[in-house]
Amino acid sequence: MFKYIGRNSVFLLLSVFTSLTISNAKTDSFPYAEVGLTKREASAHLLNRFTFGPKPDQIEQVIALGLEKWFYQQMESQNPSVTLQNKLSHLAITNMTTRDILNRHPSSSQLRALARQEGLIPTEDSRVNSKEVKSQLQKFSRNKGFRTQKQLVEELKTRKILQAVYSDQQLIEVLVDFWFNHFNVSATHRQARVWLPSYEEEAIRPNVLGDFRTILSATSKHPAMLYYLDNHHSNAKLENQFVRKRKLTKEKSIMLSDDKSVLIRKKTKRKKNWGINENYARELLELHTLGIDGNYTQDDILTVARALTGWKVNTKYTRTNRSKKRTSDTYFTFVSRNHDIKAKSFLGNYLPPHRGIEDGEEILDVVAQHSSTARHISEKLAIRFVTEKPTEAYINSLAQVFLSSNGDLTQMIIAIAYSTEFWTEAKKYRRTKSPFRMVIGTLRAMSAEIVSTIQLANHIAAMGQDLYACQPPTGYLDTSDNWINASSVLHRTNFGLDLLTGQIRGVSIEIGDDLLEKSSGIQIETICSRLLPTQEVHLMSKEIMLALAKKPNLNTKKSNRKQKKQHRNRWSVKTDEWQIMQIAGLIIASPQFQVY
Amino acid sequence: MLNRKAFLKSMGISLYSIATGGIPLFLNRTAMAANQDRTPKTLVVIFQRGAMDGLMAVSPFRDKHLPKARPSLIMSAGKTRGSLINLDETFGLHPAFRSLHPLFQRGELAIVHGTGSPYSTRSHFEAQNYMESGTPGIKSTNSGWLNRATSLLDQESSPLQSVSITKSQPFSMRGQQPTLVIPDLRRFALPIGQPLIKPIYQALYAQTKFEQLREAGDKSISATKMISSIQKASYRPRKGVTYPKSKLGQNLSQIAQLIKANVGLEIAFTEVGGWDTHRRQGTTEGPFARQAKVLSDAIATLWNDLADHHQDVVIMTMTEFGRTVHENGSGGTDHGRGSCLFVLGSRVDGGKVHGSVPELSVDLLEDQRDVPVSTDFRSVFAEVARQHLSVTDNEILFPGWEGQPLPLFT
Repeated sequence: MFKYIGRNSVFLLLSVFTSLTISNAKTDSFPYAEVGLTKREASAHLLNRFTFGPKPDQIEQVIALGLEKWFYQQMESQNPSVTLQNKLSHLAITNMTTRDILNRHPSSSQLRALARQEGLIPTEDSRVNSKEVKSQLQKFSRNKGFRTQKQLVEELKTRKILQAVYSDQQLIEVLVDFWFNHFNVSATHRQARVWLPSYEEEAIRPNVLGDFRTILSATSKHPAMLYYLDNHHSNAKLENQFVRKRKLTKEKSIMLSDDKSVLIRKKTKRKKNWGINENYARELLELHTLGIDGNYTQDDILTVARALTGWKVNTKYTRTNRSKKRTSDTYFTFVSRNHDIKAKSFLGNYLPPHRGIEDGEEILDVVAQHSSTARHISEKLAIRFVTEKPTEAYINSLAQVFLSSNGDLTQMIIAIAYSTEFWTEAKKYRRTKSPFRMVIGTLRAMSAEIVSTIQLANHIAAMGQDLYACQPPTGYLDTSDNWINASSVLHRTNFGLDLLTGQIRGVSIEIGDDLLEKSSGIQIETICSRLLPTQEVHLMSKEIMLALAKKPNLNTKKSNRKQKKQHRNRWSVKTDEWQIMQIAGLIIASPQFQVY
Repeated sequence: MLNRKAFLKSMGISLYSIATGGIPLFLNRTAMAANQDRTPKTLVVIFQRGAMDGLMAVSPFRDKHLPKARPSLIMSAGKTRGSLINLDETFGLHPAFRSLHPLFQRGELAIVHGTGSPYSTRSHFEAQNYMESGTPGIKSTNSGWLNRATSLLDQESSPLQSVSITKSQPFSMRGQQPTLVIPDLRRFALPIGQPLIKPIYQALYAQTKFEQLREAGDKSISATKMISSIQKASYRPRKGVTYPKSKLGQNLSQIAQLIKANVGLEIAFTEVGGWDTHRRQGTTEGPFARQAKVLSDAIATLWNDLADHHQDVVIMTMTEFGRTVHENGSGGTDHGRGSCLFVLGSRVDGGKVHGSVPELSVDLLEDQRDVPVSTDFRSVFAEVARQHLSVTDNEILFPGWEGQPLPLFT
């Protein structure tokens, strides 16, 4: 029904499913006027969806630049701004290579092993938890310049928050957030944890606008994923393995030769831990590619697991140069002796016997361009960027783009931005902000100055989105059903009030002296327009806020003395600035601010 | 019934009139109940997310196929601390569940083995959803079985009638009935010391067109009022009882607090993860034993703390499926089918392992790999709802289900 001409060229999709017309020529304008939006409304919508929230005056800046031009610029790679570079330069991980990060953040058991090697702590197990040993370990760790893995994860959160707030390449940050969540790995996993900085920067970030096969491959071969979903520990059953000739002794063997190696049925004593672990294979199909409705069976899962045996973390990578063993520059390796070499068939594809890594590569080829995957990825992107309840027709139209472009993720984003469905969602405000989106959007709108992010991260966690700590492989479900409940709206309210009344350590917000001199009415209008640039703020809300602003002597008689003392900082400083801050806090707390 | 009277007094009807514009209905009911001397029953549900290995929790230890299937996971029964606790010469309780053994011996704890869903998915996500919606195989169900159970309870209810102590709303609680998610009772409050905040917050949320937010705001207001009234002092369990520091232990202590405060709690939900033991599952030590201890210690402590409420409380565990009979290549087990669950209560037909597990020869397993599901989870849930909550309308509770409750109560 349609013709795909190529990247950055025009193609029309006349799908039977939908009337969606896709154009990706840079000169074409977005179809917002057709759905009755003003340029300002369109600019706000674009920023709402493709950034973590507009900064003050950014709506006008984008209009001046041109909406389409801004959008395409977002997809070009640029150097990080000086502001962001300065912020990030304070983080230790910024200046570390992946190997440095691994070597400087040993787990507690690795730390013990190292200290034991150097004879600093006793080898017998009975005394390992004594105070003496613990202080020895601390001293050892300090001398070596080690840091804890907890510090590492804290820095990772800090990096994510700083990048989301200060980066000019907002679309990239939004996509990194999306794809990390899609290919979720959690810091709650002990072995995966230390690999997370590399996972985000090397497997996810460079590939968010590439083709799907590439990001799929990068995640499948990254140690974070190999550990998190156990593929590193999945091996062919003994009788299905490659065994090289030189390893043979006198066992009876069935010779099935190919050029270099000899396949045998090895009759040795059963070695521990030989066999399949199907964890990654299942989630690869269910979560990463085909989707739960992707029409595959338990047998298919098993086949994928067998095809991916031997895909492992290269443990040579982390060896330090001082140990005389060989090191390696790659952290993925294919270990042929653990690979299942029997013939396999998967979704109608025959994989012949006696092969190696190409088995797994072929599986990834098949699933990466499967129509179920196209549908699944399209639905997730539509939910994230367009609406929480995309229509079948819309999902199918995006799926067509996915298939015709071989999973080109840039084309997917362009298709979304040029779809009528995207623009008709503007002003409907029925997409719920995730806690992260809500917090970052606030910080951007209020031009916050961030020194420390620990309390910010705690607030985001309290609202239900503990960063890097979504334990199940599903990632966070980004819909209102998941984000909105009686408790989370309380936490969102508390965040707004805490932030604006200076209760969140490490974050400061300046309101500007000129605004302080204005009347309460103007102050409220200004703050509303900054936080809710295109939403009509309910008249009643404004009246309530005005009433609050006019009440300098806030009555606190109901609270007892102890509470008063505790909350003195928050509530007793009744300056003009404090009042306007409190009003801003209430806008952040308001229902209108929770949607976009 | 001193508790309830004291509660009615301390709450002060006027506080509620603000929120509801009159005497709240549930207080009427509580007042009525006080007159009739009828105590509301509470069901406490604990979801073990990640799929607990039922064969390791309650092991058919004499099965001759088990040592071959699980060479590195096999345990034997005996008197030593590291061995299985022989329950009935067929099944042995994993030693990390030790703290539940006295309850089993007293006949208060029943185990149902071979439980699961008739729909044979091995996806966590899907199986949990089906177990929580109560409609295996039907994706379009948009409410949870505990929400529908709530709809079958008396309608004039407390804002705390159905409460989930979890980070987000579980599917079980989703639906038309107002249920409440509370990650932590102690943090469930608006900033105090500023009396204007509450009315403004209330007004902002009352007038919004976003239905979900309006409901959430409304619920949070009525619930904070109630919770702040019982949170004046920190919770003190029964003398001699200390809750474990685990998240589950803390969650259960908050459920106990709500039960004892008599705020009209009838259905309580919480969850505990960490059962997805694909790797190095271990026997007496390792991730399985660790989680088993967390679960059993927390349940035993709750039961102990609620010693004066045993007539009114039933605790039930559930998990989405079991795990493979054969261990995998990394000393763990993969996703399987049948598992087991626990039901604890004074009227429970306890001290027995209900349900069934066949001989574990490959040809008797489901798909030659898993413990077959011999008991539909709905027949257990329906029995608990019927016996403990007097909820008998199975058409609403489990639409499309034609099975019968499994007798589990005396």
